[in-house]
Amino acid sequence: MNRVTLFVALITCLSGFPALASTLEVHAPVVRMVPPGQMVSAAFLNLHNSGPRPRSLIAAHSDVADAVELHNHIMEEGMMKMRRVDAIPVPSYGEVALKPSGFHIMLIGLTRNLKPGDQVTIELEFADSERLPVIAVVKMVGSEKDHSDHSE
Amino acid sequence: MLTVSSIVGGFWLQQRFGSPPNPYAQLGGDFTLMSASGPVSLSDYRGKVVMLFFGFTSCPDVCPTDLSRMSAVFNALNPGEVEKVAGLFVSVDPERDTPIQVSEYAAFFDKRITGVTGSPDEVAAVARQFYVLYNKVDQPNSAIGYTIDHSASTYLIDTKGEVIQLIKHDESVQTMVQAVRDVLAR
Ligand SMILES: [Cu+2]
Repeated sequence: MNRVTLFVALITCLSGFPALASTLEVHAPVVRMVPPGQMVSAAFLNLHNSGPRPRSLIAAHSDVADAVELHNHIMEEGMMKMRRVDAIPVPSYGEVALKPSGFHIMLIGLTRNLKPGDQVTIELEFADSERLPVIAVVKMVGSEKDHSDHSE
Repeated sequence: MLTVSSIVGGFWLQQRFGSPPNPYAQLGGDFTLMSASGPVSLSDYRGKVVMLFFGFTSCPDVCPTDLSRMSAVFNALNPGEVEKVAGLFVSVDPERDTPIQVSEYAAFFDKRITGVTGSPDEVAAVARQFYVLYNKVDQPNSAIGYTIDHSASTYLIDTKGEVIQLIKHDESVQTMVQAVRDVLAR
């Protein structure tokens, strides 16, 4: 193996680790603590894009639930409505917040009871096929303006 | 299955007015629903300010957010105030939620919140009294099956059982604490 081949192999290898190659960063990933027996929960996080290209989160995967979907909330006709969405846009040089009452990763059919402090692995999938693994911590999530609930 | 599927109530009030007459005078009134430990009436709380919220236990986000906020309000009040404040959570999903489930769910967020529900007709009647909107909506493109769109304001009820204010879903804990104190001071 000559030096060039080695270099190419190395780059290929590195690009297999999205965390190293990515312009995307995840901050404060959490999974909402829910009562035992409850079958649904949600994951929240901030997605930061330091690159010049707008990105699009199109799916999330995790073994903590039978189905993992991207959802949003809209306030309409005096009612809070939760709906599945196909994608969550992440603007270039910007960020999107997945937070209570807004965009969230919906965990449907929990495969285990959640306990505070548990770690849940979630893989984010983007339209350009980048995949970003995230470890989210289970905690009680208050209302978004209750900053005492955020540990960072 | 049709019991919760229709929109109950006609309009939505969320303006706030500082001065009398009470814009919510037409809202509310007494009701009796079932908790895990027996029937609960709004009139049981005469002499207390009641924070009243409508939701359902398989609500993934909105209800936990509002019940956590209610708990944060309790935690922010001083012990003398807490004694004069109650939390009430009414499930508008009686098809799935039993009184025991609703009570346990509410207590998970805060032991000071009582969870109640009733038959679909009883729940619909209470929702009509408070002009609460809820609507069961099938979600064919989601594994969740169906969800319940619902009003997400918390009702503040004074010591005489009258609705004084509606706290919107996106108001802060601090705003709600102040509102509760204002109602206590009336
Ligand atoms: Cu959702």
